[in-house]
Order: sequence, then C-alpha cells, then structure tokens
Amino acid sequence: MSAHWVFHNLWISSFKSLVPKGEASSSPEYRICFEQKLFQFPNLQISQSQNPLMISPIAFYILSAVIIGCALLVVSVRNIFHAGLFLIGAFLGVAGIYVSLQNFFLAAAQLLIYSGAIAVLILFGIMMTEAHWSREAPTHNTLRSLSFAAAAGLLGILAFAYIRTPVTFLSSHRGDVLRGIGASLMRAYMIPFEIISLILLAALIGAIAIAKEDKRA
Amino acid sequence: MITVTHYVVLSGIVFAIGAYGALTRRNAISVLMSIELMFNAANLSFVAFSYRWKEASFISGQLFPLFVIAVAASEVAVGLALVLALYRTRRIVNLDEANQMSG
Repeated sequence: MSAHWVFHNLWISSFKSLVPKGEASSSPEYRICFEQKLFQFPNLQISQSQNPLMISPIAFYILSAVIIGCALLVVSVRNIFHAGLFLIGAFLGVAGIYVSLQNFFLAAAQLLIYSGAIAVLILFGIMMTEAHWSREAPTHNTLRSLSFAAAAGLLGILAFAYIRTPVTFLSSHRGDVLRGIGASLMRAYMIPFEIISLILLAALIGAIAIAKEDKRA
Repeated sequence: MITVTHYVVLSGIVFAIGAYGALTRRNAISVLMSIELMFNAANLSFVAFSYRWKEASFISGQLFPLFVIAVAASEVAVGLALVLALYRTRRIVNLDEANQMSG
C-alpha cells in the first residue's frame, strides 16, 4: 500500500512542473472538444487553444515532401544501396519534423541513432550480402497489386479517422521538453528506462550469438 | 495553419508506404528498411498527438518515441544478424527462396 502511494506521488509530481498553474479541465478547448458531436464534417468546428504553436507551412510542406519522396523511393528503387541512402533522407526529414514540433532532443536522438547508427548498420548489411544482386531480377514479389490495395485501404481508413475528428490547433508546448523528459525518466518512467537497457543488452548478445561464425571444423 | 491533423496524416501516409514496402519487397533488408519507415511514422504520430490535449499526457507523447527508437535499433541489429546468418549458410537474400525450415 505504501509503495503504491509512493509511486503515485512520484507520477503526479513529475508532471506537476509541466502543467501551467491555474489550468483546469474546464478550459475552452477541452469543453469544446468533448461537447461536440463526434461525427461532423471536417473544418466545421474548429477548437482553438490560447496560444497555438505557429509552424511555418513552408517548412512543414518541404519536410513532408522530402519524407514522402524518400519513402516512395525506398520502396521502389532497384539498387538496394540507393534505397538505403534514401532511407537516410527520410530520417533527416523526420528529424526536421521533430524540430518543427519543438522537440529538439528527439531530433538529435533521431539523427544520432537512426541516421547515424541504424542506417549505417543497414548499409553494412547490404554490402555484406550483395553478391547476388542482378539488374534483371524482380525487386517486388507477386503480391504487388494486392498489397498496394491493402496499403491504400489502410491509408484511407487512417485518413478518414484523422480528418473526421475535430480539428485542433497545436497548443504551445509547456515548458522545456528536455527537462520534462529527464525528470520523467528518473521518476515516473524509471522502470521502462531500466528495461530499455536490458533490451539493448539482450539484443547485443543475441545479435552476436546469431551472427557468429561457427569455427568448429 | 498547420494543425495536428496535418502531422498525423503525414504519419499515416509514411506508414502506408512502409507497409506496402514490407509486404512487397523481395530482399530481406528492404523489408527491414520499410519496417523502419513504419517505426518513424508511429513516432511522428506520437509526438504530434501529444500536443492535442492540455493534460499530463504531453510528456508521455514526447518520451515514448525515445523508447521506440531504442527498441527499433535492437530489432535492426538482431534482424541483420539473422539475414547475415541466412546468407552465410545458404547464400540467399530474397525472402521468396527462404522457404524451408531445415536443410
């Protein structure tokens, strides 16, 4: 009972420094979003927050064009090494999107980990297994049209769900995101933090064990 | 005016592109790359939705992509180790030909 109380207070205290004082769930945005009927045509009811995050449309559209273009090229080019390079382009675009959402730490982590380690690892894997690449071999298997229909259907359902919900403007971020991440990792999210280190250790040992050459004659 | 919906639709588009690539490509590493695209799309969606409500879920939305990045890194490491082991024993990179459990 007391341990539960301690964790509960740690959970609450790690968030209290972020919520501005005097803000309750009777804010206009909260009330508008909950009192509306759920299914309405888009853009008829727009709920505004007090000070929305002003994102430059040019930056957002350029970054989204980079991400979508590089993603389309990743799944369609014939040379798989080029596909790996376009994947790096997509990661850079996503890091730019994180910057536009004022989460600078996540942008830096994305650049370091995704484009700096994961993409390089993928390129190493491509180079170590590329003996059988040929110019005439098909790059896609036989499920091409069916999976295109499935992906398009998935996108249709997602876009329908996203556009039909009431449109809200991005509200400005509360305080320093990095300080909140650090505080949460040490208080409310301590257990996932430790478990992530265990996952990384297990993946490290597992990858070495799987890829190790069997030297027994 | 750029709203949450713009970011989330972008995330959906990238997720659908990644799903198409994961289902269609023959090379195993191409499938891994498409899965990484899907991870990125989900992370985008997390961060975008964290701005939607004035509640304590804000920091959860900003923090969870960090965990997703760590798990994706370990998954790529193990996946590439599997591809390398497969390539070493059978000289196969395409998933169509890797259809036997033993041999």
